[in-house]
Amino acid sequence: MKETENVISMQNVYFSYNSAEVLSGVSFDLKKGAFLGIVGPNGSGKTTLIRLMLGFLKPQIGDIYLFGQPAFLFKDWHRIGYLPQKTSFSDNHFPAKVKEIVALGLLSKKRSPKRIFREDLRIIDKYLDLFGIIDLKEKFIGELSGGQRQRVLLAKAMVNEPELLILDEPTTALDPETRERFFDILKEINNKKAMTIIMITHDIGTIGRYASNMLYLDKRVIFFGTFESFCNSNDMTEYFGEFAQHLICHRHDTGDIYKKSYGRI
Amino acid sequence: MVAFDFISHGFIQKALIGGFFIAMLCSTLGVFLVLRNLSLIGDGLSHVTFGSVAMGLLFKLYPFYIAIPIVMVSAIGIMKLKEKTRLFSDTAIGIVSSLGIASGVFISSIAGGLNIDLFSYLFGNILAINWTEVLVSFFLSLFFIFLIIIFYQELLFITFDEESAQVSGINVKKINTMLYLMTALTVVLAMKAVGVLLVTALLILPPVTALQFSMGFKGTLFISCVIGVLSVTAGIILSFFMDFPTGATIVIINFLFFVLSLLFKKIF
Repeated sequence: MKETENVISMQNVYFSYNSAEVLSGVSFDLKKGAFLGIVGPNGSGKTTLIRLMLGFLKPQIGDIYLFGQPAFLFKDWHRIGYLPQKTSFSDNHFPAKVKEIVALGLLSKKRSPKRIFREDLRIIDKYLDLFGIIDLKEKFIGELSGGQRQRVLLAKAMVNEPELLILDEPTTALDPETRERFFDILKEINNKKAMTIIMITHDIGTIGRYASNMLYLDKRVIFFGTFESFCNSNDMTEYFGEFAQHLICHRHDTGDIYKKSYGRI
Repeated sequence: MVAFDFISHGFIQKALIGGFFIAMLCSTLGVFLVLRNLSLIGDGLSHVTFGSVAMGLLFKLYPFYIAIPIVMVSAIGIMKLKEKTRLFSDTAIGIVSSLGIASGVFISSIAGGLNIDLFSYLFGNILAINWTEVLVSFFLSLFFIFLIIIFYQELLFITFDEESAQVSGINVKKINTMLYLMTALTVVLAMKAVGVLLVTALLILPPVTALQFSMGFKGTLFISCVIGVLSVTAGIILSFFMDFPTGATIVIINFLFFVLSLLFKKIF
């Protein structure tokens, strides 16, 4: 299939685990360079949506395209960076150093037998520095705190300089200061390199401040558009109630980026 | 002089050479299995081996010829069971393991109970290893170590996080199949050294001992190999001079190394 402007295209996607419906008639297109924040209550199908996009699951009905190719047949993995909600690594004795873990992010660009060379180490250092963890590079991953580990995993997801970065609740273990720094970096990369970003988050304020698009999911698409249009939408007022919508739209007000951008609230 | 006499015995030479390669195989693969929470796969597959050996003895066939294909199929069965039914690893291993041991008991019952041959496979006897088995251990070790070197980064990535590895374009199914099949063949071989009941020890104890030293991934593989080889060699020597059961001696020495590593970690 020919490459399109849409990085992701979901067309009338239905998905169930056995008889439990998880997603129902989900459709949206995401253009190159967009920063999409996905929000919704627990069990609303956010992670399933990501797993469908990545071809881990196949929808019962509907089509999903990734860079114009059917998600299930997608092979250009070097174009994607991914940070899952949970990693299977759980052993605190895991004997790999931070630099070895970040290096794994480069493997999608390498042919077999995959090897890490000296020039790769410079790129790894650049991303370790970007996330403020360069001094941890010789440490073992199991020795790090939750926040430090998360930064290592983010560096791993981004070291490949992907065109599409998918993050499933990336900031859960981060302290507020690191979280701010992380989102600033994401926004900068999104702006300068036109990297498309999809991020699941429970922090709706983040979406108002950083994301260009918002998807509110509750098994179906409740809302897809800009945060501003969400706040102005009468349908959303009807869905959430005026008070709840007002609260959602004001929760991002801890920073001043949105104020500067839209000059309201 | 005593040492020369000891080493001049053909069966000791075969045991030391075969044991070296079997230990190397188990302790290397064990690192990946332990870190992936697949420690008990050796136990499960060795129980299947028991069933296969019983079948071989019943039909008067060389047990290895029966065990190798059955254990390989069982290893893939565990992998598929885990994938398709979303069962936890230990549950999938438990199902195949109990089926293996039940088959062994069932077949041996048909054959008139546990005979001496089957009993010897339960506890192993590396001193009875033949040159064919030594050669198989040698070539398999070389081949598996070659595969581990070639696919080292992929194995490390999958061990760390299977899902991210898949999104990085790594063929997780292929690498997993390779790891499970290598484990299956190693378990069948290791059965000769320590027996069905103690194979797991050779797969688990050297890696967990090596993990106490925080040596990096390659360092852990190396230390695990050294501990595995030392335990098997010391076990053979000690059992010869003290007239101890070889398999059990190897496992106890492995365990002593593990205790020492814990003490080392505590002190340093």
